[in-house]
Amino acid sequence: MFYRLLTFGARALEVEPAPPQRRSPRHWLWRLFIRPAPPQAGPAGRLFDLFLDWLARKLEVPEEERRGYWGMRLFLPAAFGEAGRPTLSAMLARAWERLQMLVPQIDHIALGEWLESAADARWLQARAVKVLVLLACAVLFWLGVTTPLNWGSQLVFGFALILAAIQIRNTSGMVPTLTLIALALLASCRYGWWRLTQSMDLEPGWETILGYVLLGAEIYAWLIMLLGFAQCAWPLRRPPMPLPEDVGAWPTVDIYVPTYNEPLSVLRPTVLAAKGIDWPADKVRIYLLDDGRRDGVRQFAQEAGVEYIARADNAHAKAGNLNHALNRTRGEFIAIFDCDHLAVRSFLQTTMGWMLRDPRCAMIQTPHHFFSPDPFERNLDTFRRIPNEGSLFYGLVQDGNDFWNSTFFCGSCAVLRRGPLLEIGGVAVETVTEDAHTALKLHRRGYKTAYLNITQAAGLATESLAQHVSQRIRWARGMAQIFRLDNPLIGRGLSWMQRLCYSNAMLHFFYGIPRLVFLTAPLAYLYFQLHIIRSSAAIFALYLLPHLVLPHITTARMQGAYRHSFWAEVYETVLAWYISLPTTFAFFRPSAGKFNVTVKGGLVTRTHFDWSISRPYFGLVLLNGIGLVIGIMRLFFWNSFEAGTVAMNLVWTMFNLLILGAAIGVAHERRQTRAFQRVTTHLPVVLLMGDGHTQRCFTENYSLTGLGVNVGEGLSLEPGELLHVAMESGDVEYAFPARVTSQRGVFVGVQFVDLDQAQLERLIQCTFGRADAWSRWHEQYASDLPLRGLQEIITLGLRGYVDLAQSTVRAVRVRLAQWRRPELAQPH
Amino acid sequence: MPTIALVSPCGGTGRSTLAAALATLAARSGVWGLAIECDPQNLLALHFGADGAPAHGLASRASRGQVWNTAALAASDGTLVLPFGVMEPPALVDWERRLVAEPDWLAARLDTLARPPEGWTFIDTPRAPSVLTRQAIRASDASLLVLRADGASMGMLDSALAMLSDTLALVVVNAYEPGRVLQSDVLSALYERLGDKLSPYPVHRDEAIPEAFARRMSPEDHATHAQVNHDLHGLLRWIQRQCRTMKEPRSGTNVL
Repeated sequence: MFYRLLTFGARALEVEPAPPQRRSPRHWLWRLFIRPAPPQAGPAGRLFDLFLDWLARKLEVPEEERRGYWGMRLFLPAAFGEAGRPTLSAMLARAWERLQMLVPQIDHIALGEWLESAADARWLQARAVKVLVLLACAVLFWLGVTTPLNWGSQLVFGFALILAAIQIRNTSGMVPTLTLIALALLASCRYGWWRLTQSMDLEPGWETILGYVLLGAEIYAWLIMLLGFAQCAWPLRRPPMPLPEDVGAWPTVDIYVPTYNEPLSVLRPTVLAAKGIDWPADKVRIYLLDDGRRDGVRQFAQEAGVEYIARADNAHAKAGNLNHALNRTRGEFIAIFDCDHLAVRSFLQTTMGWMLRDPRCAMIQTPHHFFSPDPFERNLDTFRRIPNEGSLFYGLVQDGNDFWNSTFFCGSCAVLRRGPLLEIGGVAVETVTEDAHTALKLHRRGYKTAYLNITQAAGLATESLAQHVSQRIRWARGMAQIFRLDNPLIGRGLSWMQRLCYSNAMLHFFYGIPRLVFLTAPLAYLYFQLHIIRSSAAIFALYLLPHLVLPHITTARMQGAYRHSFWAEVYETVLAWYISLPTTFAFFRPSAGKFNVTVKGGLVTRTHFDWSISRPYFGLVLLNGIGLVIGIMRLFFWNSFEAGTVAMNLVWTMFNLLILGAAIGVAHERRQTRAFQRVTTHLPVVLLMGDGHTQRCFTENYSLTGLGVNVGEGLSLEPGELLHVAMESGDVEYAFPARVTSQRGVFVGVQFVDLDQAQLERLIQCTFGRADAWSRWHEQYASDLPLRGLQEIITLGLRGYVDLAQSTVRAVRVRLAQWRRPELAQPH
Repeated sequence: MPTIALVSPCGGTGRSTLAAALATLAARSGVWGLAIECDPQNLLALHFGADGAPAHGLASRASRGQVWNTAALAASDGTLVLPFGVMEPPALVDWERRLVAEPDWLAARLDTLARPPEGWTFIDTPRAPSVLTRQAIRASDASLLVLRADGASMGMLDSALAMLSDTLALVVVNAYEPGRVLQSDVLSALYERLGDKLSPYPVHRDEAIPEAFARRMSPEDHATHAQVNHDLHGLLRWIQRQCRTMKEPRSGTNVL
């Protein structure tokens, strides 16, 4: 057992192989206890690693690609039960399977289909029947929510709900999803009713104040959950509409690429990709809208053959830029791309079908896909393994919005109709999220919007956590401004569901203060012994458990493919501190505050820990950590008479600490090794060697600066060797000069050599511009399983603390060295 | 039972190489593959690893009225090749004059061969226009026009297509170098002009082809991962699809 712990510990701390001169027991002891090796970094303890591998084989520990799971293994051994050794969880799983076999075998898919067809039965469509059913449901719901039960009955009720949900979860289709939503609402409202009526009998003073603060945060969370269910209950999944056969009937389109200060290296591929969009050449025009009035950009526009528009001032930032161009162009439709979004060639042909089919459709939006990792993915190393933050919004929420005709504009990768846009006075300038506000104004006028859930463009995610935070602050501020200035709940022109969908989008950004409340609420008891919930721990648990589990099951069912459980807490925690103040400020004084642009195209040049941005997390970790210690003392010594209460608060605190650990992990910026992110795709290419031989092979990844190819056995290339790489775009084959940079086994890296603009344009057509370039990105994510999200969070939380320890030690050593030898002080 | 004649108005376009390679592919895929040489150059057998130009063959036996079916050679992988044979120029001129009067001589002779229905027959022809080329075209289900991506091919394209106007004409570009701007321009122009009559698989230029020839190996054995092999596979499948879509037999009026 000790050896097992040691193995896991050492593997977790990633004791890597060391260069020969550092192999010593002292060194690996140092590595193990004082200073673990950085992950995927250089040398440490090869000997120790070999020893561990030998031990691991002897103990039949399964091979893991990722270390750092030892903590999770202690708590959740089920995750790695494939070794064949009987673990507790494996035995539990077998018992559950046997139980399930007692239940008659149900064909879940057939059941789902039957339910769908049954719901379409004619007698159910009669109005009287609908009203009757609605009344019956309302009465039952009211009964279910408000009937007081003693603890035994509540226990049974809770378990019955949970078991029913687990069983219903297996059936496919929309009807079970709606049933799960109903059950989740039942459990949550029951908890809410109990909370409001039974648990708020508090002592006057601090208890009341803090109690109501917590209640307010819970009401906010409940409201967001409710709106979320309504918004995403029925994703529309609109298919693309074909265009008319007569090409002469196709309308004219202007493509806007607004830019401010982004470098030309970011701008050039975007414009060249836009040039590659399939549309009659006389009916499309590309405009580069340069707010920076740069000569280099103007020259580039001239070389590339696109139009260049600059204005004298920079009023209203991007919105003003777009409006200025709106007055100077004539296309019936306007497609807008951010300066780093590379469009595929089929963008217009896929989206314009709906615009032509429905004259009232004023805007069609497509997803924003990122081919580079955002700070969460890069620093937590979850790129392409776990869905990222945007995946939920563009994968599910906008589709749900589409059903209620409340898709809103996201600023890029969309097509707008000129007429309605001019009718509302152009792009909205009153707030800093001009895109959502524009869509709101269009909806108020009665126009429709559409969402096409097919990725037709891809761009760069925010480069560092600091940039990410500033971008989200801008969105949060903008949404709060819209909520104040142009509240969707009041004012005319919107349907009820549109009001709710917009409100959800805006209220979502007020999560800062509630999240902070949730992160610190258990401390009220642990520090000051304030009972802000007047109830015994057992009763509270009985009501709380269904309220936690059932919405979790329901959201996992609805959005499992787009976001894993508990990740929302991580995203919110990272940003909570930073958006609390701006949103509150913007809510009360919407016109204050200036627009700050999100910088694109920067590069994290060295791995470092962003101390300044993670200060709030440290504060919270400190508070929670001390609370944990006090809690343990209370549990064993001071408050052992109310052990249940202490235990619940302790569990809550530990959960908060894990989330904060993941947040701290995000702050550990990892170095980006390549200026242009590589995309993993397998494309057939031909290597044309200098001696006349050709080799057919497949790319492992590509970017605009080079490729990684799998050349198969039998070919060896010298680094520095010049060759050509031929790639296809449609029927045409293009050859690009390149140089071999490295070869590892069958994998060869090549770098393109001196591509001129025409060649770069062709390269984009062969890679980023392919119509199917992003069509399969969904397939690489594993879908959400009930506890998978929890496992991920636990892993990342613990790893975040390990990273923090390493960074602290490193920083202390640097400081010590500087203190001892001032001449070594490096400028930061 | 597709019979394909490989024709070209220019010399050195690679008809023999392609005929040998395609017949090999057919044989190796499990169906029957036969390459027939109508070119007095008499080099086709060398592509299959023969030691020298064979003395006996189609022409040498046929002109003397002998049975020529038995002059075929078999390569080690089962591909069959019927070489032209050695023929003195006066005898050749004489024979060709006689062939002018019998335009379907080759077609009739091929009908006497016992060929399995799924097998392929490729006829290598001399540089067009020629009496033997015309014989081969009339004996085939389809004609594959082999071109290089250069100016000469563009210039001769119309006359070549006119020659193939009463048969199914397919076109393939051989020895293609995508790195050469002129070649890729010519290829684009050919696509525009010919549409789906041009093979979507241009056969790439590859040093492996002459190397394989020198080593008396098939290109597939010599350089397994070369793009050329992929092109040849694609070409064969494309020809098969094109032939299948044409319902009429070889003597029908299939226009371009």
